[in-house]
Amino acid sequence: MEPLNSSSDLEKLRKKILDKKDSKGLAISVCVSTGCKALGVQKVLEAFNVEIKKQYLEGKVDIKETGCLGFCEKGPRIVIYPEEIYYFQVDAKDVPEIISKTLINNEIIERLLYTDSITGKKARYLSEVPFYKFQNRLLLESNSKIDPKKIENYLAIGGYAALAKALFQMTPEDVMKEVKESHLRGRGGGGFPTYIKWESTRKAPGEPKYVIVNCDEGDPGAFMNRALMEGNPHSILEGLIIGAYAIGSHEGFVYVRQEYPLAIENMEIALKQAEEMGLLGEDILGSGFDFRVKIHKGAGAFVSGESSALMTAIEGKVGEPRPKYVHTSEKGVWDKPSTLNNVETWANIPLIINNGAEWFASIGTAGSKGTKIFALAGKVNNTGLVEVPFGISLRDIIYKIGEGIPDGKKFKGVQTGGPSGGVIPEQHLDSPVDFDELTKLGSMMGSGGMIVMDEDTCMVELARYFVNFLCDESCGKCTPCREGLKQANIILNRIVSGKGTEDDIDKLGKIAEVTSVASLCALGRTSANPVLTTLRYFRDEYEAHINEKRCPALVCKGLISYYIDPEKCQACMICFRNCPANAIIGEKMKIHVIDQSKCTKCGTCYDMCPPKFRAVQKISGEKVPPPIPEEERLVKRLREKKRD
Amino acid sequence: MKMEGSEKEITLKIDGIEVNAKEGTSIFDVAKTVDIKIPTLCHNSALEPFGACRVCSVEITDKRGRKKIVTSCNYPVSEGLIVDTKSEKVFRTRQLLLELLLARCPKVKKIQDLAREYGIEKPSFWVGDPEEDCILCGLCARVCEEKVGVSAINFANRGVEREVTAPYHTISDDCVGCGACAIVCPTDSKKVRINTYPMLEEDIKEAEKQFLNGTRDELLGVHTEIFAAKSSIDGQDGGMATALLLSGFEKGLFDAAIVVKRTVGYKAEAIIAETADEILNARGTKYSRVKMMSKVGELVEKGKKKIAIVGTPCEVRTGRKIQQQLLSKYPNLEITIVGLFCFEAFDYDKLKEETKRLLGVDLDKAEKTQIQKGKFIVQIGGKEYSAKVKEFHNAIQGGCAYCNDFVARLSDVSVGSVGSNDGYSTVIVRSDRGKKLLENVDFVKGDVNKEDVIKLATFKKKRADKKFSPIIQGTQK
Ligand SMILES: Cc1cc2nc3c(=O)[nH]c(=O)nc-3n(C[C@H](O)[C@H](O)[C@H](O)COP(=O)(O)OP(=O)(O)OC[C@H]3O[C@@H](n4cnc5c(N)ncnc54)[C@H](O)[C@@H]3O)c2cc1C
Ligand SMILES: Cc1cc2nc3c(=O)[nH]c(=O)nc-3n(C[C@H](O)[C@H](O)[C@H](O)COP(=O)(O)O)c2cc1C
Ligand code: SF4
Ligand code: FES
Repeated sequence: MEPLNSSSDLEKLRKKILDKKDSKGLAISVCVSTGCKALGVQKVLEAFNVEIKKQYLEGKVDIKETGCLGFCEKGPRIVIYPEEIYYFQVDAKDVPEIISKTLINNEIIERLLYTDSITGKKARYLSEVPFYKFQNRLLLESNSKIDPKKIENYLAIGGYAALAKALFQMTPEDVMKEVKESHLRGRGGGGFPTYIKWESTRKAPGEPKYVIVNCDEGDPGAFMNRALMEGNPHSILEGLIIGAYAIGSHEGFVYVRQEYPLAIENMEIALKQAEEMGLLGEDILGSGFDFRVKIHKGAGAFVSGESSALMTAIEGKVGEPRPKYVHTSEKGVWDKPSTLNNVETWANIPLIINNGAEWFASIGTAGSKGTKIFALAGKVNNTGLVEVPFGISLRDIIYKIGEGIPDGKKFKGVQTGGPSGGVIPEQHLDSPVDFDELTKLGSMMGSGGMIVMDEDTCMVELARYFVNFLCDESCGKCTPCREGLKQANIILNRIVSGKGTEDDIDKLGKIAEVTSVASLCALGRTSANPVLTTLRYFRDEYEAHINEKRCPALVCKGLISYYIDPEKCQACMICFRNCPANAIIGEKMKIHVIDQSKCTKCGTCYDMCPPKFRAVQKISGEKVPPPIPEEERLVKRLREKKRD
Repeated sequence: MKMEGSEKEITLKIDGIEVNAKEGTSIFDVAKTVDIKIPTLCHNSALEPFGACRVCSVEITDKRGRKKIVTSCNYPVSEGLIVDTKSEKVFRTRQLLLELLLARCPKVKKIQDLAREYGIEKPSFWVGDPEEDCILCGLCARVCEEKVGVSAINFANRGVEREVTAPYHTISDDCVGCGACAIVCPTDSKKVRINTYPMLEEDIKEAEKQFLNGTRDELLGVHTEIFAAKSSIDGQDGGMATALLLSGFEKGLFDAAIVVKRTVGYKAEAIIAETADEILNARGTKYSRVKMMSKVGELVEKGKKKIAIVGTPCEVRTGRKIQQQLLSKYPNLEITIVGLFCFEAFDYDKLKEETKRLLGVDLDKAEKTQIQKGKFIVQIGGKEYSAKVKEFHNAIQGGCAYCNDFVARLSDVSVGSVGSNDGYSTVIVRSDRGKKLLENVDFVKGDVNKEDVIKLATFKKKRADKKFSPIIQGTQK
């Protein structure tokens, strides 16, 4: 097609697309993102295509392959329009029924509706699903409405209107003013005010200037950025072009980790389509503004997401952090002014331009505006992506959206900010989710990882886990981070294995002191957070490990023992047969005993012992009672019988 | 990022002293002008600042009055900056850094001394390998890449596994033995001598003692004879290099020789010659540097114990170093080395590009190339195309400018064209093995002009010395 040459060309095209839409609007949208793909959505999709042919509905129903709405654990997820009925955990064999009943006759198939795991209630509309009810999906909502591979879909929901507005009704200064007044802060971790960064690149001497999308997303378990890149790449691109226009940049990069093939594919298609339509490239929409974008595939390491490391990688060198005393916004890629923003930051820009800064700033808290997407995970009933307005409390996220802790366990802490974030305990659960509040608590916003932990989590082990992760993920360039993490890892390993010494906590403190002030990049500077927050809120657990050789959460292998309560053992032989170390001595009718010298503490006996007996116990910090003498091993009920 | 002081003069305060400086200069450099000493480990003023060791940390107070620890080697000064190089926080930071470094390298004197200055005698942290002597400052890797231009040694692995090593942990083919890595290393680490071959003056002297025999001349090296000769072989010059190799092969001094052959077009490759024909077919000079040294290891691994190498001075040096290392494992290993004079070599791809640009011809079609009287000459279809060698400077192989050896001082016998007439080779005999090679070789002697050889040798040495001077000056050992 001919490239669009003006704002009215764009609006004409939009009208044409909307007019062409079937008035009845029969459509089925199927999530084909990475999450649902892993759950076999491809088969469901094929079934729909076959069935539609079979029932002579070709051309009458629009099958949309869309992005992710976040509730991946309940996938594959589909939506039937126009009624907007959401079905979860759909299987290929449900498809004929869905078409004949729901699509044609508006009849609901109860079993495919969302069932609340706690109340057992069925939810007919998304707004009735607790997981969604308390969210505010400004960014993610469109993921269920559009096929990310079709630019027309994006145009149909108003796509690129913000770009046209910026190019034709606003000067770059106007755009800057809007971004400033929106108080948008970066979503990549630091929460740096977007306006200040843009202004610094805008004013910095040197050409060309670059704008860059950061989709490294190295935070393990997080997939907010992937969901947006896969589900709505044009929204990110539109934000990027508007930013480039405001900053005065004509060249952009999208840095994506290689491990995100679908995100790369969808962004590549988006770039191509936007270019063909005249929304990217030379003389965008006839405005005279030129802008080009290249995709850079990165080798997805955690540290590659750090701004100077990412820019070094774009230059074709090993992606390692470098000193940033002169900000990358002034001297970035090839020492040229470069603005780097997170995927989610860019995706907010079209919203701000369309709806105005005032609207945006009305959402959130005094210091944090708009919404934030979190990847809720861990010991919580509902897991997945949740988009919430700033200011919502951690408690609401965990208990209203996440519907609490499974199996009636007690909440213990929530890790925000990824591997170098921190743990926030029960007493701060009512704190609002806000950049500055989380920092005050010793953690940070990070890019949106949120891991809930219950009473069975050992906080020392947790700190060890993150420190170990950072040991591998640090680039190893600077002394404090590399050597400090190495030493912290050794100390924590010592503590969890029961060999901790009294001065270990002081040593951890010393390491934290030096890593946080002297490291080259933010990875090292924040690397002590998991240790510092667990020490701050759960110091007694460290002390129990070190002084009493006890793991209060009964997690650390080096500090626990398994013991069979002779009063409870019914000699069912289950643990005896399943113990992989052959450490259980027992026979029919004889109380089983664990040979502690052979036990590898794998916990099989503990897990296998029938709940009605609960004879196997985990103990820590105390001596295992001596095995009862051989001659007294007849099980209790038989002993009693004998006595009778 | 380069630290470039701008023209703007600014005033700042370091430890209470007002100092004028150019905006953008590093705190470290400015402090030096007022004799304030700041410890550094990963800094060398000849190289771009790296900011890895963090030992040069100082405390600054910014415009808003906030204090911050920064590294002085790369923090650019600006108007009104207040720097404290001796605050309690600075002391504490350096103390902790040094304690961590001492735990890493407990036996390194430089770290011990510095740690002691900060009150640390023994680290309270875990000590791993007590022999570890690399602090990962990266100076070796950086000097090799940024200055020498060959990247024969580099960082490998991430995080706590980080190390410096030659690529793939095997004999480096790129190392020119210039010694820059060993010169800049603040701890004199063994690491730079594992798969790379820095040959400092003392290493060269040691090798001379071990392998050569004759009178020693600062520029021509150890030698017994120098003369011009022409053999019956139609080689590059007098064909002496090939004639000597053939003679050694026939006498059984070696049963495999690493020689260099053209492959496709002008591209050249080191091959293993195991017959006289293969040696003969490799005659003629290819003016590009080839990957050769890993072949030595390969041959030895395969069980060959009598090997010959023909190569340029850098290859001869690294060859000797490898021989020394292999000898400890294979005491009966014999290596015969024929050295070639060399002022500089080219990079094949770049040379092809420049030949096209400067001479308008395709290097791959060349029947012969020659460097004579400062000209690079390409023969194609009997026609000669030439231009000054100087004009080909873009195509020069990284490392050549850092090499101070023109005459292959560590060979058994060196061969070159400078110093003798057209069609003759200049030959320098340096060892008994070299003498043996020469026995019964058919050749005609000609006039040798020693001065010409010395002139170029001096020139090359001076060039290298000049290149090294800022690096040596920047080294704080
Ligand atoms: C890169 C290079 C630069 C040189 N620069 C100078 C100089 O500035 N001044 C000077 O007087 N002489 C220089 N020479 C030496 C000169 O070109 C002749 O090689 C030497 O005079 C021997 O001539 P010949 O006829 O005896 O050799 P030949 O009998 O032709 O034998 C040449 C031998 O050199 C080997 N050879 C060829 N190319 C290479 C290579 N790239 N690397 C290693 N071995 C190789 C061949 O395998 C062969 O065995 C240089 C040689 C090289 C390879
Ligand atoms: C170790 C480390 C990893 C990071 N990883 C990411 C990442 O994966 N994605 C991201 O957007 N920002 C990441 N950041 C933050 C970036 O350095 C940078 O601040 C951010 O991309 C800027 O965008 P924003 O202003 O929109 O947040 C990381 C920072 C550090 C220190
Ligand atoms: S702080 Fe860690 S990740 Fe950052 S530069 Fe230093 S070693 Fe690399
Ligand atoms: S960081 Fe400045 S000398 Fe190492």
